[in-house]
Amino acid sequence: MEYLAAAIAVGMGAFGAGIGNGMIVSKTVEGISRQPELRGALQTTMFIGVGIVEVVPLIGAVLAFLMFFNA
Amino acid sequence: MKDDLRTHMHFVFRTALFFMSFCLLVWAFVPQWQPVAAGLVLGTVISLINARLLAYKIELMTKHVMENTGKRVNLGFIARASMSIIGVMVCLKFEQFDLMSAVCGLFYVQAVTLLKGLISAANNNGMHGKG
Repeated sequence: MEYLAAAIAVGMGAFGAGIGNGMIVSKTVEGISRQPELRGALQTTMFIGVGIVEVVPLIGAVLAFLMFFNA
Repeated sequence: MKDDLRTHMHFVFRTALFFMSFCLLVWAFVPQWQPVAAGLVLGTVISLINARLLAYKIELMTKHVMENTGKRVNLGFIARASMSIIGVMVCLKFEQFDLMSAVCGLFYVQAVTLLKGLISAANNNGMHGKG
């Protein structure tokens, strides 16, 4: 049962973060292509977005590791 | 430029160094809190490495977009997740590090980034309101 819990924690977290990161990166690339002079602001916004989105799968990975080894 | 990524990273690194020096003081002068301080420092260091890696990947991606090279760049999530798991493994292996503190420290950069973003958004709204 711990293995199933670990798999669900990693899988669902990665699924949501994958969709979110894809949207962030696609919109940032679109924005940079349209207005290259704004790339500094867009990079910072992307850094903030990706950093916050990836908290969830990181927590999932750590929790899955702890569950997997039953710590 | 005010919103430059490098400026933001400098701010994050500066606050992280202040935070780690505070943790070092706690580690030196409060013996019963030593594992908590050590875990926080370990988590913050890993968080800074992850942030630097993410900033590098974003700069690389922007460079490829600007030059229109057509190369694919991934954001390196596996490397960052592996770094986090290494930190957790160190905490499980050595009892000098508290696990929960290290996990909290792993999200230091995100917490500072979110706070800074909220504060700058509030300032921008205030400026627009005045104008």
